[in-house]
Amino acid sequence: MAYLEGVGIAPFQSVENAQRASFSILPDGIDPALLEELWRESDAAACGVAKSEFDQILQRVGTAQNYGLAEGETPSRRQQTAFFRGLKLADLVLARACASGKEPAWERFLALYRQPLVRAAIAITGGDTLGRDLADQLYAELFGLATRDGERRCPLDSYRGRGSLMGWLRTTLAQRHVDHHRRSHREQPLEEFDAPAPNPEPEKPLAELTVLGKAIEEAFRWQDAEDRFLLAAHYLDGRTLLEIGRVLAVHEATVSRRLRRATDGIRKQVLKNLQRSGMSRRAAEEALGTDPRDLDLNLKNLLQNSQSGAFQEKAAR
Amino acid sequence: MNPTTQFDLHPDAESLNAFVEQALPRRERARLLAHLADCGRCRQVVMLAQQAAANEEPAQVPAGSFAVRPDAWFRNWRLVWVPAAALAVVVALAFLVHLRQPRPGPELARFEPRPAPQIAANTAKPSLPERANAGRASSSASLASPRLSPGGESSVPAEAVSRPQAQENAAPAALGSEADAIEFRKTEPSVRVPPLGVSGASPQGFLEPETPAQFKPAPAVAAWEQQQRVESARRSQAVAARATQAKISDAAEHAQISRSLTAASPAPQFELKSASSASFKIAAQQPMAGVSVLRKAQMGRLPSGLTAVSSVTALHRTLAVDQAGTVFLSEDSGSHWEPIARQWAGRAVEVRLQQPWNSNAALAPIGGAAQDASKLGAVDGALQPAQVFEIVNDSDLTWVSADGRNWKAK
Repeated sequence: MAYLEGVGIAPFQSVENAQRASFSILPDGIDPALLEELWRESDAAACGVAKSEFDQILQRVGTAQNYGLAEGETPSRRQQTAFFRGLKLADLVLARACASGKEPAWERFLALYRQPLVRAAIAITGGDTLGRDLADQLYAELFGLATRDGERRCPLDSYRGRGSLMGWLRTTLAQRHVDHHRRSHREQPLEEFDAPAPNPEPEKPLAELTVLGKAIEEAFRWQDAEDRFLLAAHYLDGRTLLEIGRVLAVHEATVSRRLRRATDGIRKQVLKNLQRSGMSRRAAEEALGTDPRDLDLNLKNLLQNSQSGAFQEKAAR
Repeated sequence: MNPTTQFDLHPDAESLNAFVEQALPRRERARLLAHLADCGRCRQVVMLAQQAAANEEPAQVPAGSFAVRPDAWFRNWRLVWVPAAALAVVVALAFLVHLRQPRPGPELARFEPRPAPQIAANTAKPSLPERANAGRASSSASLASPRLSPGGESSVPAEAVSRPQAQENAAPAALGSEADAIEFRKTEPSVRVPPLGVSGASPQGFLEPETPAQFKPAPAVAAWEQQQRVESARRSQAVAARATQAKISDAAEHAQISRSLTAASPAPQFELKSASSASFKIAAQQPMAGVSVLRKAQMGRLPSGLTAVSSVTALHRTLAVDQAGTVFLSEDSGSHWEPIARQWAGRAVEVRLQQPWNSNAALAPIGGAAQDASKLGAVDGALQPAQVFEIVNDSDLTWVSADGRNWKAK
């Protein structure tokens, strides 16, 4: 929720709902010449979208995101034009036309995205059968077979044209797959569940280990968001430098440098924290050589806790 | 699968996809990154989506990835304008400096610096009236510059002075006399010419820049154009009257002189261009003692496209070496050139004649010189001092040749 508050828009908020929000709307609408030009560029007529419908789509998308500006700002004509030109209008028109059930749009959608969607699903699931099942389920969703409160509900309505439609489809597939995996992973049969036996005599941690744990927690708390993302993706998720680099659009060598810098920074911060707690430099360095298994630390929790704190702090600014 | 799972807690596919495609604004990207650092589920979604995209289009770079990279030192292209503008200024300054550089004026002709042998004043018969007047003047008269009478008559006894001075004086005097054309005509064969190869008497050759005497008629052009207008009417009558007779006599004399000149020295013909692009044609068919007139247009550029750095002429052969060290031989006084195969070591830097000067030969009549030349030229392999070419390479070693084609080390 903190993310949603920070961005200023509900993640699955429909455009119609967003239009009802308090974003400013240009009173005189979109410039007719610009509208005509964008309508032609997006090839909206091929999807069965009239110019008036195209105008409504643009207005809804623009007001839903306040033309890319912060909340409360009034967009100028130039900002409005720049925002529309930054959108992938052809994909946006196609998605909206499909969501509204236009036959030419669906024909086009199937011609363009049928095979790529199946390939993406197979790549995501890692298997042909699972991939085709996933793609078929998503198709069912996209066709609007699901209804809520008696209304046909199409996920394509949530597409706002910032990225490509194919990327949006891939991400949606990934979301469905991850959610399915996480949910099914928790559904383990009881007979296979082997509860770990509790420790007969939990040893009291030494004072040094307690100080070390606190120093590490403190060091993680003030890590930069990107550093935490790198640490979590690399050390918790086991992602390679190449995968992380692709997501961040940087070279893997850059990811490696940043990771090293992050770990060095954490080490220095832990040393500082240890010295601040009364340890000498030498004792602090010796404490860093402690076997991690002796520490009662959950790095995942540490990252998440520190993340939450940092995010709330940024959100409060 | 439930499509609404945790939709209220995580960014939607639109935002995650925009993050993967680097299409988010900076502020929203930072927030999404912070969420990704916390949320393993969204990290997994992003990684899977990126992996699928990489499988689909392995070589595709995410659109806009360059523009919104948050940690790039060049956050945008505005910084690029600074070195680009500096480079443009430097180029513009260099261009202006290049434009303002004084260009060398039209180089008209150069004369050999060496003193000429004495020439009898009454042996030459200029074809122009002023020349005739000058020829009657006292041989002891020596003028540094041409004097023009108000009526346009030149009182300069051009042929009475020593040859370099006469050449300097006569050339401007002749400028503009006949429709911007100057002709030094040898009308009598009694002119004493230097011995064979006199044009290359200077070891440096007549293309060397240190030649002190330089003929620059450009300043005198205006004056002589005025003179031309005044005397043209009067002179045209006399010229017309003598034209037929002069042509006949000149033709006969010209043929004879050309033969002797070919044997004695190069008879280059070159074109002079003034600053106003007027073309002056000088037919230097008269071998002038101590003066070598070069074919600027032809000798300046050899077939290799390079400038000749040294050249020498003996008989009808002209040797020249260009800046690359290639030696060219011309059998027709520079009209056609052929490269000479390298028979020497190193790079040729100079061509010259072996015998720098022979006073006896220099004073010999041209007919005798021509005969001697033909005689010497007929002796193949006998390196006669007056016609033996020399090539000096960059190591100061010398090769000699009688015909300019076959060379042997000296």
